[in-house]
Amino acid sequence: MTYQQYSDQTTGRGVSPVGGFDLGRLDPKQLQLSPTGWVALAASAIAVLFGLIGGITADSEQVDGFGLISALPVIYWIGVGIGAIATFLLMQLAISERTRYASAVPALWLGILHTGPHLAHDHFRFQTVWTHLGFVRVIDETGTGDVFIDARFAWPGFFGSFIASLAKMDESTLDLVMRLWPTAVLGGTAILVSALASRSYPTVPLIGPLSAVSYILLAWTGQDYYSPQSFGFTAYLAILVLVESGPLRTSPAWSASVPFLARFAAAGGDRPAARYTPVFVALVILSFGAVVSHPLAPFFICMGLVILGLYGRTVAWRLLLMVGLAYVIWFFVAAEPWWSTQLGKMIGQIGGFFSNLDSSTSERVATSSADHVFVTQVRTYVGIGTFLTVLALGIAMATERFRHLRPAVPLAPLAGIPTMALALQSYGGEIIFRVVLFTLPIAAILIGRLLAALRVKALPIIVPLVVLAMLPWLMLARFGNDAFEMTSAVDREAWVVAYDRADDDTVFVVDNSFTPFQDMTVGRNRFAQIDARANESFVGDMEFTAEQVDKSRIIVVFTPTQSQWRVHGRSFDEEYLDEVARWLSARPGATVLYENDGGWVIEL
Amino acid sequence: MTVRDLSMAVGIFGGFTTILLLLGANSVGGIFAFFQLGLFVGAPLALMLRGELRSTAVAVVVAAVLSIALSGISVQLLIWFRVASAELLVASSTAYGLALALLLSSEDVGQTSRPEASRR
Repeated sequence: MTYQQYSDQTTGRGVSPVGGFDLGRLDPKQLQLSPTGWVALAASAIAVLFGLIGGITADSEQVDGFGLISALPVIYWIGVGIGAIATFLLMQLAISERTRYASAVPALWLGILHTGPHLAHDHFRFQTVWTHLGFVRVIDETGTGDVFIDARFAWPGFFGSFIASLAKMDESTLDLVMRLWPTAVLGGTAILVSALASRSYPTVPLIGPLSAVSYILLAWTGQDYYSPQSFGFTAYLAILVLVESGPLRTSPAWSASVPFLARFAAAGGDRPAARYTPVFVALVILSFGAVVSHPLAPFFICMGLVILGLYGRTVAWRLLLMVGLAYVIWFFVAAEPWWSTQLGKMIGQIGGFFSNLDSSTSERVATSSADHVFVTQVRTYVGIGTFLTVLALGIAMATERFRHLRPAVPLAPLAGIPTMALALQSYGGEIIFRVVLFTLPIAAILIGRLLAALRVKALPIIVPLVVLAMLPWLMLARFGNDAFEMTSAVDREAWVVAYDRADDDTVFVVDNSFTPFQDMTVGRNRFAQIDARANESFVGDMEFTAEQVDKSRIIVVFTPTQSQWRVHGRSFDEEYLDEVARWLSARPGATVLYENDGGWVIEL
Repeated sequence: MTVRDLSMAVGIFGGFTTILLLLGANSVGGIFAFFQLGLFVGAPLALMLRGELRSTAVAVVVAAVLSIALSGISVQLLIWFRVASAELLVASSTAYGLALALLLSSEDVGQTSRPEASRR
């Protein structure tokens, strides 16, 4: 007996709560849990508590080449184990309870797996977040939100600064808010995934929570949640949910008459466009917001709209026209200064499908650390595994035997279409990660459907086993890369000294941008990267750079992070930076402001 | 949420932010203006869609995303086109909100959010 048959038999309904994650449906008066239910909820609470305690008590200085997982204490892993037991118990509940409380399962794994490790550090350890936090400083210190702030690079910092200013927070509280930002993004997108799953399979019980669990267990691209594309990604999911909501789902058009296309998805015939306008207004706002935030996300949105248009959503064509127009205007008007310098490189990569893909992997693997190579390979293989799973499920759904697995939303084409981006450019060697980011939610729904198709007695066993099997790979792929992008205590000390000394007339010279450099902190300071030569012409280059940006003071800041495992392709090793620093400090007029364990601050 | 409610929210937004901007253009008040733009227009719009989204949790997420989108569009316009007058932007946004309300008034939003009305 399948889960759905069992559900139909026991509840007489067989219809899952649409929205899947809808906590608003819980009525306290109906909280009549069985003893197993209470044990399950208690186990969930203990698991989350242990996960959070494990994160807080982890010694982040113990992080090695495999990232945070090497520093997490035993109590964290006990929390993971209890979490698996709690998942088992929640799946054991009677059918009526199971549907109601199944939302606790994704919430559980979100708490343990993604929030706990984020609490491990006493400070932000990622240089990109420090850049974001520059917004807070500049607003606090200058009281201005001048137009030079390019906010799209730091929505977390931008909105974090609002919250901080409103609540009069100190820096440590803001620090905590910022550390929880990725969990907020992941939680929000998990809710949207759950909603899209419910629209794709409106009669399949548990599809929302199962899809959300699959999504959370595969979401290893978490560092991207700090970047502007995290907004574009969330907007993309919200657009899919809105297009698939009632008013915009029109009757199948020509797709129904093309059997090959119709095999992959049955376009849902639904209600007429009764409330078309507000939904369309929301869609336009979301699309335009994505266009101004990130250059890559609108491409994925356009591709998604093409698929939805092909499958009969007439609104998709109109929206595509508007997004396309906004994209073109953005490209030729607002982004002109950027593309005019990048055009040759961009056009040169178009069509280079395999070279772009190869660039994604080989460039990242070409580091000097075997651990980093392994972590990168794990990430790549998990991504490829996701693609292959989607491909297999898409083909299976196209057959008559698995016809019952077909969704009301064209999921398989939506999951596959982001790969088109590989033909555009290598995106600095990271295009494969971006493609995975946009493929993952849809793949998670298909995997969720596969889990929901299991026989009812197997579900409580299979789901926890899948969770435990996926954990090592998720943890390695999600947090393994952290060790190569973290800043150290010496970095922070060096920059505190540098900022104390700097003023509006200062240019900072660094090895590379992998440093807690708040580039908005001191008015309009700029930074320059050093060249390979430690000689007089090198100093001449720095003086020339300072002159170009109209600065008279030069402060050189070298820190261990800039050379750690040669994280950046152009970075130099620590010994060489030490040599350069000693040579610079011996020059007439140079003042050493800070020197400690690979950290140097020298004013020239 | 009715059209009248939305109009009122937009009016409060416009009046309040204009006062803030008059206190000090390009100041923290200006920053808050963008935040409010998102909050006063994006959140009500998402709540209006709650009937279609069929989930409070989903509506809250969409409200947050809409708010960020609206604030982001305003900020980027200011950055890209170097609009000197933030007051002009707020006035335009208010006008936009009112136009939106006018547009929506062609539909009986308050009633159609109920299931029985949407079936008509």
